[in-house]
Parts: sequence; C-alpha cells; structure tokens
Amino acid sequence: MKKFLSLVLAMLLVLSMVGGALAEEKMTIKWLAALAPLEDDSWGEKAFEETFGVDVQIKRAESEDERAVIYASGDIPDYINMGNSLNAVANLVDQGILRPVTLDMIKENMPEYYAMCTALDPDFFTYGMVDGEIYAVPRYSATSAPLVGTIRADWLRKLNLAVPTTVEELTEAFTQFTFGDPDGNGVDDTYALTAGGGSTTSDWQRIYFPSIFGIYNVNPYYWTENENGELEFGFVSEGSRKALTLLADWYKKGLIDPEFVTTELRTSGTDVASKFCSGKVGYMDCLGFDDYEWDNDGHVSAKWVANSPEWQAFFSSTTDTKVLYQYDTTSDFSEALEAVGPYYINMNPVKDEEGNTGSYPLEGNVGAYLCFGATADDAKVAKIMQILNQEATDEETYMLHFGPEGIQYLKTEDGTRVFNPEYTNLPEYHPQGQILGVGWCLYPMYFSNPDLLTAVAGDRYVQRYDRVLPMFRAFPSFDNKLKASLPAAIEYPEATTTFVSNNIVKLVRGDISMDDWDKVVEDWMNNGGRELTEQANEWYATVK
Amino acid sequence: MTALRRKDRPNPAMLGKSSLRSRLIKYRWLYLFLVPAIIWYIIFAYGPIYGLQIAFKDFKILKGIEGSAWVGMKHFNKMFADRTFIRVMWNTVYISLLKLVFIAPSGLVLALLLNEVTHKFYRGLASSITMLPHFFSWVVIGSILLEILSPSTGMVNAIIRFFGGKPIYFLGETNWFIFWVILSDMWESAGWNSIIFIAAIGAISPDLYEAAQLDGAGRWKQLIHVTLPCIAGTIVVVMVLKVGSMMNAGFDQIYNMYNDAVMSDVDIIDTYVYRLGIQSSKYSYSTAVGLFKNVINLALVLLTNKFSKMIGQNGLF
Amino acid sequence: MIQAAEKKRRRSPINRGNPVAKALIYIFLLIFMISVIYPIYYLLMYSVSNYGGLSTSTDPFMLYPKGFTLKAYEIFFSQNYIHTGFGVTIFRTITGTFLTVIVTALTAYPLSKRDLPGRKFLIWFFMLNMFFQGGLIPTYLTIKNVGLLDNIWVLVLVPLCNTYYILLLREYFEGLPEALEEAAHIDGASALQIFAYVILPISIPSLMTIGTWVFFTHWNSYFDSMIYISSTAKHVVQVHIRRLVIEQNNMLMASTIAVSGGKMDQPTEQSMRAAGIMITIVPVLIVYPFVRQYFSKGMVLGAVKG
Repeated sequence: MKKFLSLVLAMLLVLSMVGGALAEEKMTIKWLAALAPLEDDSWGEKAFEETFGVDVQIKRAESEDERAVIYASGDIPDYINMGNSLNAVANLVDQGILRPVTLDMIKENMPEYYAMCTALDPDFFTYGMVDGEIYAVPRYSATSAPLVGTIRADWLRKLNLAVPTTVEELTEAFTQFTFGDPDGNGVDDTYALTAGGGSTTSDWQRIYFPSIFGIYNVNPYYWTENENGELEFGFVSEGSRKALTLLADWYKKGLIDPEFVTTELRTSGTDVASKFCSGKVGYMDCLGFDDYEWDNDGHVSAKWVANSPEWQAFFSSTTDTKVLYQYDTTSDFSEALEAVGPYYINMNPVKDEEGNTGSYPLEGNVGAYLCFGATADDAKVAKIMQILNQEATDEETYMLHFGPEGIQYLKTEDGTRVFNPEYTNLPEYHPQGQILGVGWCLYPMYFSNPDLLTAVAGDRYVQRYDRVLPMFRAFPSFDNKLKASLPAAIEYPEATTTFVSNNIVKLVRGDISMDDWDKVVEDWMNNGGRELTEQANEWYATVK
Repeated sequence: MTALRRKDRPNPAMLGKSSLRSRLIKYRWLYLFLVPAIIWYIIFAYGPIYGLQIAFKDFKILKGIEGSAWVGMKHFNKMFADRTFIRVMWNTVYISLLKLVFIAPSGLVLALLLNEVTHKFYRGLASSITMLPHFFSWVVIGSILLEILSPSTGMVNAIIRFFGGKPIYFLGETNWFIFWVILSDMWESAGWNSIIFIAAIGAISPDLYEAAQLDGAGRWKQLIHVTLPCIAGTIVVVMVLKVGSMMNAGFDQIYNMYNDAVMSDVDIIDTYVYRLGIQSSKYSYSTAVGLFKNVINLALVLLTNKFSKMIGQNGLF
Repeated sequence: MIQAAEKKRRRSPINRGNPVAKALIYIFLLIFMISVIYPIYYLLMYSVSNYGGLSTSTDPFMLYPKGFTLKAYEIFFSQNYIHTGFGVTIFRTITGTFLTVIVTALTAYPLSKRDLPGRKFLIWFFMLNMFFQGGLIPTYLTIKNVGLLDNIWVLVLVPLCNTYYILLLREYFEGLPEALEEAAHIDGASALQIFAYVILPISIPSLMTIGTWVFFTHWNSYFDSMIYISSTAKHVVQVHIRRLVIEQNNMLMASTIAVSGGKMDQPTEQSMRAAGIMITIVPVLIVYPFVRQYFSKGMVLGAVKG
C-alpha cells in the first residue's frame, strides 16, 4: 500500500513537472499600446499567440493618466509603444520604467529589420537613445515625406502667373491672390495663405508656415548646423529671423489670413485644407503626404473633390480604377489635369533673395518608439524583438495586420490582394481593426517596410506609394539634426515648444516688432535655451 | 410661526451652555449619523493623503512614494525661481478676481430674476433651460465659440457686419478674449448655480412677504428686506467657498479656448502645470504647485470666513 | 392647501411690481434661453452633417445640416457597449444620487447643532479635504487595496461624499426653527424619528437641489470609470462615446477606406462628438421636467410647513 502510494506520488510529481515545463514554454508578454483590441481573445490576439508561440496579456490604456496608474501599481508591461515622442521616452527612463537594450541584441534578434533600416538610414538605431543608451527600437516610417507647399494652379492661371520659383515671385503671386480677385467673385475675400494654429501636433508644437521657413532651410522647432559646425536651435537662427521678417511684412500687407492663429489643422469646416479647397486661401503648406485631412497622395484630395463639380463628375463617370487613378499630382502646370477641372500644384521650394535653394522640413522617419519595461528580462526582450522583426519583414506575418482574407482584403484571380470595397459594411469593420484585434496595438510594423507598402495593392495604392511618394521624396528637404533627448528638454519643456509658437505668432502679427528680435533671442537663451544649446552640442560632438 | 432670520434665534452660547456630559448624552445618536461619512473620509479622502509628501520628494514611479528620495523645498524653490510661474500666477489671480465679481453672483441674480417671473410655465421652462449649458463640456463650448466668433465666417461677426460694424478677432486679442471667457463661464454656470438659491428662496415663508406687503413694501423692498436677508446664510457659504477656489481659474475652459496670440496673458497655473506635466510627468512638481495653491485657498477661506462673521453672519465654522 | 399657498404668493394684487422691470426680466430670460437652445440646435445640425458638406460650407448660422447622414447615430447605437454603458450610467446615477443625498443629510444634520461637542473639529475634518487631496496615484492605490478596482460600486463609492454639499445642507438645517424639533421631542420621538419624520420631509427642496447636482454630475462623469474600470462591459456610456469620437477621427485617417470622395458621406470627429452630446443630453431633457415638477412642489410644501 505504501509502495503504491509513493508510486502515485512519484507519478504525480513527474506529471506536474512535465506540466510545469509545458506551461513554462509559453512565455507571457504584457503588452501596452494604444488602440488595443476591444476584447480579449480576438482574432488578432489568437493569431499573434499562435504565430509567435507566446501568451500575450494586453493592457488597455489610452490616456496618460491610465498609463501612469498602470506603472504605479507596479505591474510594468514588457512591451510599451511610446508613440513618436522621444522626450516621453526619456521621461519614462527618468522614472525608471524602461530598460535599455544593446545594439547587439537588435542585430541578433532583428537581423532583417536591422539590415533594412540601416540600408535606408545608417544612424537609424541611434535615434532611440537616451543618455547614451538605447531605450527604444525605432519603428521605421516608410511613408514619411517632406511637408510640401501646395498652390492653386487655377488661381495662377487666372492671374496669368507662372509657378513661383523665387521669394519675389512668390510675394507677387501672394499679393495677386489677395488683391487680384483670383476667384472672380468681385469681392475682396481671399488671402494668400493661412496656418493651423488651432491644433497642436505632438510635443506641443504647432505648424506655422514651414515652407516659408524652409526657404531659408530652417524649421523653428528643429536643430540645424550653423557655419561653425555647431548645433543651433532653429527658432533663434538667422534663417528664422529672415523668414519671420518676410512673414511679418506679408502680414502687414494683409496677405496672411489673420485667423491663422485659431484656424484648425484638422477637420472642422474652417480648417486649413477646407479654406484652401473652398478658395479662401491659395497656398497651404502644413499637411503631410499621408495626412488623412488631405490625402495629398494622389491627384486630388477628398476636400478638393467636395468643392469641385468637375471632379465630382469625373469620379462618378466610371468605376474603372485604372481610369480613376490615372492622374498624379504634379509640381508644374499640367494640361491633362486642366482638362478635367481645377487642380493644385505641389511646387518646388522657392529660392531666397540670395538665390539659395530652399527646402522642406522632413517628417522624421521614426514612426514610433517601441520600448521595453524595466522588469522584462533579456529572454523576453529578445522574443519581443523577434516578433517585431517578423512582423516587419515577413510578408505573411505582415499580412496579419490586415486580418483574415475575405474581410478587409480579397484576392483577385491573378493572386494580388485588393481591398474589399464592402469592408466598411461588414460587422467586423472597425477603422483601427479593434474588433478583429488587428492593427496598431499588436501589429505596429505596418507601413514600416518600403517593399510591403503595396502588399495590398489596387490602383489607388500603386498610384499612392509607387508613383506619388517618390515624387514627394524628391523635393529638397532637411531633417532635425538633433536625434537625442536632452536632459534640459525635460527641465525646460516650454523652451522648444510654447515659447516658439507664442513668439512666432507675436512676431508675425507685429505684437512684437522684428526690431526686438535680439531681445526675443536673449529671452529664449535665459529660459533654458543656453542649457539646451550646450547639451545639444555635447551630444553632437559624440556623433560627429 | 417665527421669522427664520438667524439673528432672532437664540444663541446657545448666550443662553449658557449645558454641561458637556449632558450634551454628549443628548446628541449620542447624532454621532452615529456621522459614522458613514467619517469612514468614507478616512478611507477615500485621508487614506491617500500620504501622497502629498511627494511635493517634498523626487518622485519616481518605480521607486514608489515611500521609496523616492527626499529633496526638501526643491520644487517650491524652483516654482518661485520660474518667471513663467510667477506670470501665470498673476494671470490666475486676475482672471479669478474677474470671475468672482461677475460669475459668483450670476447664479443668485438669475435665481432672483426667475423668482420675479409669475408665469408658472415660463418660470419652469426658463429655469430648466438655463441649466442645460452645464452639460456641455468645454471642448464643445470651445469649438462652438471658435466657430461663432470667427471674424470671417462666425455668426457674431456676421451680425456686426450686418449693422455696418467692422469684424473683430475676438479670440485673437487679450481683452476680448477675457471678455468671452467671463461671458461663456457665466452662461455655462449661472443656471447650475441658481438651483441652490432657488431652493433657498423657495424655503422662505410666504407669511414674511405678506407681512411686508401689509407694510406697503413693493417688489424691490421685499427683495431687500425679506428675500436677501433670508438667504444671506446660503450666499455667504457659496461666496466663501468661491473665494476658496481663487487659485483655480478654470482649467478646462482656458485650456480649450486659448491660443498662441493670447497665451502669455491668459495662461493660468493649471494650464501651465498641465503642459509641463504632459511632457515630463512631473508628479512632484505639480503636487508642490497644488499644495501651494491650496494653502493660499485655505488662507483665503479663513479670511473671508472671519470677514463674514464680522458682518454678522455665521460663516462656515 | 398647496395651491392656496401658491396662489397667495403669486397672485396677491399688490404683488405685481413694476411692469417695465418685469418685461425686461422676461426678455432677458428669453434671450438667455435662445442662447442655450441655439447651440443645441447647432449641435443637432452638426451631428447629422457629413464630411463632404462640412468641408464645403462656410455658412455661419448652421440653420440646416451640411450634407445629411445619420451614420453618427448608427455608429453609436450599433455598438453593444453603448447599451451596457447606458445601463452602468443609469445604475451609478440612481444609486449614487440616492446614497450621496442620504449620507450628506446624515452628516449635515448633526453638524447643524451648534452646541454639538466636537463640532468644530468635525467641520475641519471634513473641510480640509477640499484643500488637501492625495492625488491620482495614491488614490488609485488606495482603491486597489480596498479591492474596488473594476467593480462598478467604485463609481458610486468614490464620489459618495462632497464637503461642499455637506456644508450647504448644514447651512440649510441651521436655518430650521428649533420649535419644530422641540415639539417632536416633547412627544417622545427619538433622534432618528425626528430626523426621518420631521427634518427630512420639510427639507425636500434642499435635498432635491443636492440631488439634482449629484444626479447630473454622475450622469456626465467618465474619468473615474476610465481609471478604475478595466472591463469594457462595466464602463459608463460617456467613456464609450469619447472612445468612438476618437475612433471616428482615426477612421478618417485610416488609409484603407480613404478613397477620394469615399469619405464624403462619413461623419467627422466633430459631428460624432455633437451626436454624442445629443444622445446623452436627450435623456436629461426628458427626465428633468419631471424632476423639476417634484422639485417645485416640494418647494411650496417646504414653504408651507416651515
């Protein structure tokens, strides 16, 4: 009897060990990202767990406050998607919530992704660094493009003007746009340009006239290199002074819509794109290539179509997508577009007074910073890296982002995938795939691989990514020279954000005279600017 | 039926207090009434109060509140060394004072006006409808204001133009901006705040009005001699507490209305700290600022309370 | 009896006042009402407008919708969570209002006794909370320790007490004539009986005031639900509405349907938000007149008995 008992016990022991080993094999990963699947055990979550052989535990938090209490309760997620603010990453590092990784870990666990990104940008993996250590795997944004200036071709034609190539010609065109009655309604109700001061972008920056600053190769929120080879903050550089002088002059002449301070960047009916499309202004420069408010990716945006009976007629004339998506946006006058209806031109940057070519600010190529919680061990980090690598570079895994075939996309006879036009009417439909559980939360790597942009093809996507994106990319552009988070940026967050926006508006409106420019610069220096410049150059010395 | 005016009521202190023991026995059941609230305050209000210590610490989430290092007055020193902070503090006081003068009485005024309406249905309708703006969040009010105040497409300027005036960029100029801050806050809160006064007025005995009428008092005299004295206690409590939120000038409202042109003049403590916080979750700093604000608020309450006693009211305590 | 009192108060001949002043008051209130109704109308029109219409129109008055779509409402009501959300909101609002009014009255009444031993200490005890609170993280940790996380009672219990209401109600109780209680006391009624049968009935108008405030504050709250509740099915409706508004924004952004012209008939983020306000404000518009009726009856009742 005793023997039998001990045998049973021994067997139980063995069984429990085997069971334990089996359970141990499946790693549990705590996953925190925005736009999480609405419910547990969604299609996307199951596919994720099956594909990668892990058990994923999704943390749901959309706001900063929700995230803060998750961290504070001591249950730190293993994977944290920090969005596109490096300062936010630095802050969590400061709070002790993130752990560093090494470049070797990235190379070892994400070989294909590493190769792909470094081929596109050799310094790419240094962009997630804080205090000299890598705290984030940056997500490559394959659709990033310069913020291009867009001008109404129909107005230029009506006023017998060429596409401007210099500041002088641009000023002349803007004057005519304002006073020459370009819309022909006999009322003086037009302006040349406006801006979207009513909305902030990430990190509390606002987008004010980037293409005008671009004439002088500067963005007030970016760091640039001056002639001494030192980093200088865009707003206090000579280029900014010139751009602001020009803008203040235009404002005084009445060329700039005075409402640029409160006009929304986003949908509201009186936002920048609506004003441009409905003919309140003739120039606009604040919406990026992939901006949903603008669809600046094809020949005409949705808002433009809404304002143009000609284009509406064109779009309702046929359902053949080959015909519908035949016209690409241009950087010069186009007879073909003119034949259909009014159109606009994504123009080349103009030359400044001294004949130097201008350029456009580039939206950085980091789409998001993907980070690792302080409590995640090396094995977990390695696994997460492998997952991200596979999502970015393996086409089959990449396609999980779009859900199962037959819902969001269909396969045509020749095997290409096309979007299902009926998708929006299906019960599984959700703009961010949160019902299926696909999308940003578990599959953050979509649009990170240039080769897979048209994984789901169709004529619109071919037009968008294969034809128009290269044209945008070809415009001269410049990027932020600073690729690190400065300790002083946490100490003085306003110096590179609100201070700049407030003063741009005041200088343009003439609330502060351009004669007092030196005082403004001095003020910036005294409010953290000196420390920022010092630290920026310390960092710059380490990468040069 | 005695008059309800407080002055007429016997003050127990003057009558000579009964002994502590006899009062304890007399009120023993009333202490029981207090038990649920006391338990709630101990758990939910004072349970988390230890969190205030992070104002004197360098709070790191991972280390927790207890584990973070003490830094003394560092955050307070930083606060007073920050010129922006000093500026937004004065902005806060300025906007708060304006609100105290114009908005605090608006609920009372509305209640008195409603009281003058003798048509029952109209009175009911008006008091229901004037309360509704309280249901709009400031995000919504802010975006409505943006649209109706636009110089080019807004309704207000369309009316101004119709009468031959020149359009005004209301939100782009500091004084106009503050005007609309006050007006919209009044619009949003008057109906809501009038509820308490309507109830207080409703509790006044009609006999008092009758007596006043017999003395030949008109509506105005009745207002001065009956209505206002009878609700003075409520007015004082509401006003004292309003003063006690002097350092909060309305975060949601300002945050959803301001823009770069007026920001330096209308930025208040709460919006400033919020902007600092969202970038660098400065829990310690914002707790220090909150502590500073509330110490001032408390001091103001004590002062106003003292003042209200000087003018013969009971005050809060 | 009630009607008689009402008549006495409103109809007595020398009660009329200055007709000009009266006319001005009526007109002022009319303007105020229009200033409230118009934005509601504006939001209603906005909520049925679509992307295409809103991006072409610059009409300042918004007297009719720009384009027309009921899709915003369809999106809201097609979500199961909107229905469960309304359930949670109604639960917390009714339970929360009832409990808060009771606890507030229970607390304010003893504090209105000016010779209550320890009164000053108690008032300070309650009042200090208005100025000193622990902050988000410690409060969260407390609620976690109490075991209320992801429990819908957290929505009722966390906002249970409010010092402001206690102080206001105490002020009202202090104004009650002591003769009332003395008579009951002589009849041999206990403290609880006096409170329940004498004090509470005549205090209905004041209790209704507090109740109205609490009711609508509960109805509008979302932050506590967002922080303390994690199950989708236990969230209040406001959380779902906010989420759907943000998602609409994302939908316009989603490239999958961004075919030129394809989003013309879609609602925008703003029109979704307007629709969200409509569906939360309509129940209030329906309920409030009934509440008010009771409210004004109680008012007269209070006046007569007092």
